[in-house]
Amino acid sequence: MGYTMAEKILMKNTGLSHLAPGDLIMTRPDMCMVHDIYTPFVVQKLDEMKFRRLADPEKAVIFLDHLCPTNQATGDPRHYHKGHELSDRFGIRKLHAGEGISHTLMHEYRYALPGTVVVATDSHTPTYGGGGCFCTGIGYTEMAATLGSGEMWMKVPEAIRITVEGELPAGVYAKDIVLQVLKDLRSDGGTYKSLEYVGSTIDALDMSGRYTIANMSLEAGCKTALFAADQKTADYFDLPLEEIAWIHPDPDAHYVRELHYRAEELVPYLSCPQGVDNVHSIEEVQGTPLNEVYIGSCTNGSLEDMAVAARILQGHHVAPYLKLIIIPASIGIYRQCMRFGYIRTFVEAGAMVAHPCCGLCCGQPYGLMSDGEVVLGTNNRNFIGRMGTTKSLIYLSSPATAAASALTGVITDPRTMTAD
Amino acid sequence: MQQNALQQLLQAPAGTPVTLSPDWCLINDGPSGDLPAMAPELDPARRAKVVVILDHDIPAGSFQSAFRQKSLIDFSRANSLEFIQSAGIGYQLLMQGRLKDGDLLVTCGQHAAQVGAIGALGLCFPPEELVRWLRGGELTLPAPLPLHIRLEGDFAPGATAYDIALACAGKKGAEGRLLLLHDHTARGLTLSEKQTLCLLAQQAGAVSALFPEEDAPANITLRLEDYPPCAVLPGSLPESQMEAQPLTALSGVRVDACFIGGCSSGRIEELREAAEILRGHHIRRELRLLIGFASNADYLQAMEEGLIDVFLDCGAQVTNPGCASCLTTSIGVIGDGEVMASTGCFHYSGCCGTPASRVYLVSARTAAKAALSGYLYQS
Amino acid sequence: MDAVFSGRIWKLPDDVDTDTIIPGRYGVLPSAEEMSRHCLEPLRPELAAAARPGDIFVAGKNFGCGSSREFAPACIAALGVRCIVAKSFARIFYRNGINNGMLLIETDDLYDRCEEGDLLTVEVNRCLKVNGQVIPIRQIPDNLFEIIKAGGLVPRYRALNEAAEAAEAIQKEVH
Repeated sequence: MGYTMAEKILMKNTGLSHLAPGDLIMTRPDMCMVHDIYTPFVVQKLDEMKFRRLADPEKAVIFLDHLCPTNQATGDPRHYHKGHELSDRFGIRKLHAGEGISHTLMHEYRYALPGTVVVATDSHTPTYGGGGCFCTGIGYTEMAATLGSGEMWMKVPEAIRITVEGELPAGVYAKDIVLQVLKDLRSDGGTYKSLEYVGSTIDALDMSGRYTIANMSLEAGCKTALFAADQKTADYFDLPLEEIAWIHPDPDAHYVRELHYRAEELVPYLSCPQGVDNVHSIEEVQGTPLNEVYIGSCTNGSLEDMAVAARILQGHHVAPYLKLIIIPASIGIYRQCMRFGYIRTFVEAGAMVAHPCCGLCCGQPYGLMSDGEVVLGTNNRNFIGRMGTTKSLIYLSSPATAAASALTGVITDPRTMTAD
Repeated sequence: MQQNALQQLLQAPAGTPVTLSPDWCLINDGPSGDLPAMAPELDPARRAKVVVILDHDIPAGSFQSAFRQKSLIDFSRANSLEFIQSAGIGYQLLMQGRLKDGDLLVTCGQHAAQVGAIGALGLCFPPEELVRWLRGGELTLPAPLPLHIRLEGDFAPGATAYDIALACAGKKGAEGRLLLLHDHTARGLTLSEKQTLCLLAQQAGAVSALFPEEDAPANITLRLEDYPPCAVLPGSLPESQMEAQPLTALSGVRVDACFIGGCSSGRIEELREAAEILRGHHIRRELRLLIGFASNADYLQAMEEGLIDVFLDCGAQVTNPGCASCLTTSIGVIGDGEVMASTGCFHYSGCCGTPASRVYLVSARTAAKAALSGYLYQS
Repeated sequence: MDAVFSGRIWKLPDDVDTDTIIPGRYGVLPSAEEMSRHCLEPLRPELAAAARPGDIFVAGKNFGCGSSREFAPACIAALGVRCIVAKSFARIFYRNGINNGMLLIETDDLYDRCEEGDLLTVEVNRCLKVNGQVIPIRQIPDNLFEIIKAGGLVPRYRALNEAAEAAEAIQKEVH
């Protein structure tokens, strides 16, 4: 009997020659990531557990990204200093302050490698599965236990196979694929499961598109979301393909559910208030007036995403009174955006470009909305009050839909603008 | 020919009320952010003079800011006002092609005097008085006594225009006066230096400050080289008098965060100075350095010149053009017990963080050096 | 945690997310106790003040979905609620709950057979009893119940590390 990608990676990690969904196993994560919302709590839990040293400090990395630039004076500076304390006291040499969003940097820095097991104190950790990495979010107590002991219990997940075949139409992107999946799976349809993406459309996606889908698959409650390693993966990580070519599902692997899509049938989608799985096609919601548009986040803050936005915004100006905020996901992406002229395009179109960080997505540093205002973001969550007061509304879409909508001030079909 | 506001004020006997006809009225999301609630409908003839600029807390860092900005947007829309956002600090934007020599700008902010760099007059009024004018009423000001100041010499080693502005902000003698600055330096002051020299006049109690076209006999002479690098000490209240000390006396003050930007240091000139110091180095571990840009033009220019790369290389965070950390409840704040070396214009407890945090005001050069070492010092 | 205990039921709907359990802006409050005063505020503003230690939450599907914030189970636990019975739990909430010493029981069979305020009796690894009805529940794997019984991961590793330190100290004395 064959194995799913999740099973294969967990077998490699544990050395077990066989395992099956539901088995409880002890893994040894290859990398543990802590970000600044949790730095004080991880330090506290390590102390409470009386760990004096970590199992392996080289397998730990700290990112200061959610609360950078500091925004809430009563808390953020303390979290910043606690990140450094965690680094100093426990010998964690990998610390990145204000360099951008942890999830993007995890693969940019090659910390989340294909075929490895990675855990992080964040729900969007499944992101790295875009590069064939089994990765999952955990709490700070469990993080402290894992950092200290080097081990973590896991229940081997069941898996769902999602097959997408064919060529994506113009104006339809990876984000639209995952929104369609969320529409079908709903917010709990992937709970505890590994979502494994295959098919010719998936093979044709670039790495950033795969990371987008893996990132947002979490909104279906999955444990991890995985993509097979191919030449693009090997090139991205500068690894020989033969080293990672084993990361693919066996033809006879067991999946508890199968979803099939034809790329040609997909259209731009939006998550509508208030629920990520409240997904509607562009036809159903176009024309909805907007107060703010946000392009960025660990879902859609890549260079490719910025390029899409720049192409649509080039030579145009945002609708009167509309706030457009663009935040590249990392300083590396930001630098390339400067080089390629995207930043100039954004500024000339009337956007605010802020320092790479989690930005508006977690409702922390800025971009907050007041009662009755409506924001369209490329991020991954539209829970009540996440980006403003409880009476503000959040729509989620691809960068193309977001950029097109910023120009008109109402939700707009990007296919009407990308035809050239 | 009709007299401009400056001529009217200078010709009237000191103390007599002069009726003003502002050319520009700046409303922002800072001190004038509550005007929409006070005057929902404006006198049609005055609408054309008003420009609404969101610059203080952008993107909105609190619910209060979000509500305030929304009310300003609704207000601008209802009154068909010129509306600008995502572009930088209001004063800087007005000086980029809107304000002319001799124009009168009125607002509620304390830093309107900086437009004096181009010979415009920037006056600060309480919201109630501006509202009366916006609804068609009169706006008057008792004619101030002018104080002509002759500027001579050149900057002391390591010192900049902001060191002079900071040192003078706490000095007596400017209260109620209109400062008229005359540039007699051999090198000639740059526009940016003039702007910085005017910037804090209203905080020193002056009605305003400007560089007029016509020369006049000086009441006092100020020699630039008499002003070494300095810092304004943390104050306790917004109205606390600014008190500067030479940097040599403050050597060793530890800082946790630095801010380079705002009206004094967010222009390309100061950013170049900062970048020169930061280039090839890294800020001290655990310190936070935030760069803010005065306007989109400064931001794009800094990008063209590679300055943003220098800032990123050294570990700084670069934020969107606007007021940034100068006076904020959200961008780059500091916490209890933390100290910031800031090029901003506010120095009181809580102006950029918790009430138990402290802000020293310094030049861009001093802030850049502090960011590398973690301390205030004079090299 | 006893093998058999009883508590008053609070009924909660499907898909209660972690932002609802504890809105993000309260995440900077210094303790779970202080956060607990805002627990479930957007959904049930009266609940935090009225909940008593020993109460039990009975929820629909996907309880605790959303972000990984561990404050969510921690602030529920700070209310004194140590047991939640739901049709299903969001994955991270499930782990965080167990690792914080909470007993989380998944069953479809309770929700429609009880009302808010009913008294629920839990017999660990055996059944639930409410209004004279007996609802069987699944076994919890031993290693998970060990963590729950120990009060969560912290007491478990503290005990292990203290034992290791004591052994090290004895080792030193011996040398």
